[in-house]
Amino acid sequence: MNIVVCVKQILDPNLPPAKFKVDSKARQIIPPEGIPLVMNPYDAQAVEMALRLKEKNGGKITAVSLGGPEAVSAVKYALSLGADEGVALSDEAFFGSDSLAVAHILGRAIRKIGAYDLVLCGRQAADWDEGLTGPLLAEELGIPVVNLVRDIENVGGDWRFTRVISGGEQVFAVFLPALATITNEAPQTRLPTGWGIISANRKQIPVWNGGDIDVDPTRIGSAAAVRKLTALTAPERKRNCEMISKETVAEAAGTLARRLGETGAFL
Amino acid sequence: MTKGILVCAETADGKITATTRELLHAGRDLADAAGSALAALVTGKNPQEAAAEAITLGADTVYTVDAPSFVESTPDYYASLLVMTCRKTEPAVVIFGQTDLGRDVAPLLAARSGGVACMDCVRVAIDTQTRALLQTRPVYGGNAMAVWSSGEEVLRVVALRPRSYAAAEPDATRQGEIVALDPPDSDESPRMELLETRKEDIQGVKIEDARIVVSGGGGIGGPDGFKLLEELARVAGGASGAVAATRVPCDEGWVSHGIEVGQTGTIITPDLYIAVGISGAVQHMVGCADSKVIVAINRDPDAHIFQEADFGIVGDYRQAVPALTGAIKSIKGA
Amino acid sequence: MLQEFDAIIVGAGPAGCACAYSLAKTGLDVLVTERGGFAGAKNMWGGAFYGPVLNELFPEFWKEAPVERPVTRHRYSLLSGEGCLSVDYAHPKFNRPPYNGFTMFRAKFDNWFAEKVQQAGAIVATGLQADDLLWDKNKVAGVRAGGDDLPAKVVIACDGVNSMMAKKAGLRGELQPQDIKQGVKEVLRFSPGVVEERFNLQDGGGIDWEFIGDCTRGLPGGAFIYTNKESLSVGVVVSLKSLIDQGVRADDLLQDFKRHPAVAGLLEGGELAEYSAHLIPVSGIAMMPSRLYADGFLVAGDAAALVLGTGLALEGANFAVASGMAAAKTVIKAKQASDFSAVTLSSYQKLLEEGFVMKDLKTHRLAPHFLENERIYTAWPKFACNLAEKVFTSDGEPRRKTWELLKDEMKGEGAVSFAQMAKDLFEAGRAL
Ligand SMILES: Cc1cc2nc3c(=O)[nH]c(=O)nc-3n(C[C@H](O)[C@H](O)[C@H](O)COP(=O)(O)OP(=O)(O)OC[C@H]3O[C@@H](n4cnc5c(N)ncnc54)[C@H](O)[C@@H]3O)c2cc1C
Ligand SMILES: Cc1cc2nc3c(=O)[nH]c(=O)nc-3n(C[C@H](O)[C@H](O)[C@H](O)COP(=O)(O)OP(=O)(O)OC[C@H]3O[C@@H](n4cnc5c(N)ncnc54)[C@H](O)[C@@H]3O)c2cc1C
Ligand SMILES: Nc1ncnc2c1ncn2[C@@H]1O[C@H](COP(=O)(O)O)[C@@H](O)[C@H]1O
Repeated sequence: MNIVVCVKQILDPNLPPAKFKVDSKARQIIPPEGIPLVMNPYDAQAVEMALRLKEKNGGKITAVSLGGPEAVSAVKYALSLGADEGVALSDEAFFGSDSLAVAHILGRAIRKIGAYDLVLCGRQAADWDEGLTGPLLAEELGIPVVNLVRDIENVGGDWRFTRVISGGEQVFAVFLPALATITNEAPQTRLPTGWGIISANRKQIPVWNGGDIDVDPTRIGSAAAVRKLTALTAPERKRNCEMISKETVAEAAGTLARRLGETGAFL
Repeated sequence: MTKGILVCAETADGKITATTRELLHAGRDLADAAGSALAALVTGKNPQEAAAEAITLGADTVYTVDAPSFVESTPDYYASLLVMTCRKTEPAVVIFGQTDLGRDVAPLLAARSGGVACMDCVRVAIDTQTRALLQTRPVYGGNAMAVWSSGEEVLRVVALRPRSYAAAEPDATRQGEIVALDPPDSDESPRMELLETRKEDIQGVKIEDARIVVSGGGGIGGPDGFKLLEELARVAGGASGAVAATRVPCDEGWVSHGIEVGQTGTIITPDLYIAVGISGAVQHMVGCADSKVIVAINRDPDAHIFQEADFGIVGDYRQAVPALTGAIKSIKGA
Repeated sequence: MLQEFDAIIVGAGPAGCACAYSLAKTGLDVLVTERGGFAGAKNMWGGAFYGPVLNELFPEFWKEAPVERPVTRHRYSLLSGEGCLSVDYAHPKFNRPPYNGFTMFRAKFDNWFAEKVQQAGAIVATGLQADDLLWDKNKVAGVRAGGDDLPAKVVIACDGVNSMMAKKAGLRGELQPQDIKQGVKEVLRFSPGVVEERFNLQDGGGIDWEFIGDCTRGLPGGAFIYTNKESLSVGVVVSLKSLIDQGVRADDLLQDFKRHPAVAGLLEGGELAEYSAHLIPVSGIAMMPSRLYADGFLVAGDAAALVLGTGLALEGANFAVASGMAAAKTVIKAKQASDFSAVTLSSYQKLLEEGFVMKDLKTHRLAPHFLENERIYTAWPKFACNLAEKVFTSDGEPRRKTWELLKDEMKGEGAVSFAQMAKDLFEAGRAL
């Protein structure tokens, strides 16, 4: 089976809050110097899902990433984990694209890549945290989409997607080609191997621009974006912590219980 | 007459859900600001009763579609249902909850109606001059707040994060119109089919409905420690006490994923949130930051959680939690 | 896919990059393993690269390397209490090619260097930590990294101060606190123009400013300020042993230093852009492994403790580059002879002896010991500052001769005696 995985390189979401500098004037996050970007963790889980599917069913995995120079790093990382091929999509005209435009560009690239059975995305990119691209891409490609998928299995020739819902899960039979957005409850990601990193580094990653994949120039870039970012601010912190320090933890707990009792919290 | 606001309502056991009541609150505010009407779409088997409830909660018009509920059908089916409803009712704005339904259908609706979606918003407002919709949402895991503006030339679809608005209060005197729509034709060649819906057995109150939540993190170290938390939740909260967790215990398999609090878990706003062995990562805190009172118990005095709490105790939870349980017991007993 | 590399270099710092670049240029099949997410990701230095060695590798490197400012001004200051006594040297020639030194950021510099290495044909595998050496009998035969065995004819350990590889090769033991200093550094960012104005810098020039005295509460070490384009690198470097002995945190010293009246005003309004901490091997020759080679194995840069810390200067990056280049020369010869035995590789050590690396280290071999003299950090700054204070104070009292003031200054408690003064000056002359 041929699987395309969409991967995005982002600011490490595990960085401490102090590292996220909000430039309200320019309406952007200033990345801290000297800290490498990482693959969106959900996309890494999508790669993991692809690898497991390939191990069971055979086939080929192609990683696609849209962005500046970091897109090449994302593709390389996917290759180092075991993806077979990859392509980076970079073009100044892509700059400022919204989710709809990103989906259009990814869709055109996937058409060029050729026949596919499955497209995998992360449940959301942990920078802008929107979770729109996957479903929009499915629409662009005209294929069905299942969100928050944690498992994909072949049962007697039928493809079953298990996805997480509030308080439980659902199993769908899905006709391929289809798209799945992968959730954090899916299997955790493996680490790249030594040879994986080396062979990923040996590969020349093709970089396609808008012309290479025949995008519609009126549908991309900031000019095409209907939604505009009008403000970006740092969140406010609201609380002032009263530290309850006493000789013993038991005394502190007693004081805390009394203080909470006064607030009416548990009465 | 200006195009209206449409809330995509969800029901449970034939009643409007808590999240939908919040959407109706937000929708009512928007409609009033825009000088337009608020409509709601109620689906499911025999939707009339819930439709009447939606009117008491602020809707001027309720469209009903007698169709299988969302969990009994497919995202594809619900996307067609919404596309059909919007074609017939021509709203300016459609409001979903950031729920299973909203996450699935809002993007598809936007794509199929030439609209623009904005997911996981915590505030929506109308710019009365430009009539643009202003959508506020946390980004970068909660490390920043973004406001997006979408002009009225296209259909605006928003998904509102649960607990961002207070629930609309019912007003039995409100009047409104109920309009039944036909369900969409069932798909001749479906692309997907629902095989099974499994719901977890939840004992006691759900974390989003609990008044007192005792939450454990990576510091609990294993499933056994959670027993101490359960005891505390029971003593402090009785029937409205529940145990929750950060992602770490869920990923480790100490507890079920269903009780994860945070960005990708559940958003909760209890009266009292007791965070035990939790470091206070943003992605977790966005799930509980609007709790009334937050207590942190952590053995690391520099843990970030203390900057997010109202009360803090530095210490090992194995001592602190039983001590707190005991102290509350004796206060309550007195 | 079990392919043997000619050389595997562990670590893409200045030493590793210089070595890999030289090897790849001559067509050897080279792998660099770097554990950071990119080269330079977690690395730091005070901020200046000195000397002509980089120019040898990349003629006129300043035209393309991510340099911040040429160092055109050197200033040394003694701090005591609130006082500060400085000497300052500037020369326009420092602002002309081939320049004397440049301030740079590691993250950018290492990344640029690694890019050059890749262009030269080597593979720089980032995010790949070497975990162990592979052995073929007594010969090093490659490294184990990312769960895989990666064979090579020779392994060059450029993995920095803690060099796990040199330890595994049996060339050195654990680091001892007395042999290392801890450096902590903040980068403070300013609006355009502020750095020039506050430090009176012209024509893009920059300053390297070193402090001793109360900035380390008298512990062996010092503080520094380097000017970058629109930011300052501010840090302290302190003996790890004395930090441990005194139970002091280097960061507390840095915060003290930033509040000193001589610098506080210069740092005001700076926005913290970066914070980092790192160890530095400073015992020079005394801590160097006696052999820098083994069968199929070489060690270069900080891993071999090739750092010069005289108190007047802290230089390691240039030594790292030079030793990396020397290692490459040796390996190229070995490759021609198809002989990677310890005997062949021993010529590496000879190359170092002949170059400035070992010459500088030998010239200053007494410096590390001299720098342990506590008086340098306590009595001397106090003495000098007190004296200056008296010389310059105009309090209505009749002025006294400087010589008399000096004599007075030597009488007080904890003062420097004549004998000590003579001894320290003599030793300073020998060591520095
Ligand atoms: C994109 C993304 C999305 C995420 N979404 C979520 C989410 O929705 N929900 C979520 O929870 N997390 C989420 N995370 C993970 C989140 O970033 C943190 O990693 C996680 O919340 C940390 O959990 P923790 O605080 O329980 O564990 P840790 O960070 O391991 O902290 C454990 C704490 O326990 C303390 N401790 C240890 N032992 C004891 C003891 N005996 N007594 C008292 N205290 C003790 C320690 O001092 C420490 O502070 C997400 C991460 C990413 C990258
Ligand atoms: C505070 C401070 C100020 C300084 N100021 C100056 C100055 O102004 N001028 C100057 O010339 N020098 C200065 N130095 C010294 C200088 O930084 C070092 O001497 C120089 O960086 C040594 O280069 P290196 O390549 O040997 O080692 P490093 O720069 O330490 O590089 C080692 C590399 O190896 C990698 N690595 C380590 N272990 C592994 C492994 N197992 N697998 C894979 N990769 C690994 C590391 O990630 C790192 O990239 C300063 C140092 C400090 C700490
Ligand atoms: N620039 C991009 N390049 C490749 N894939 C992307 C890009 N942006 C988003 N995606 C994919 O779409 C998913 C959801 O992204 P988002 O809608 O931005 O939250 C991500 O997890 C990726 O799989």
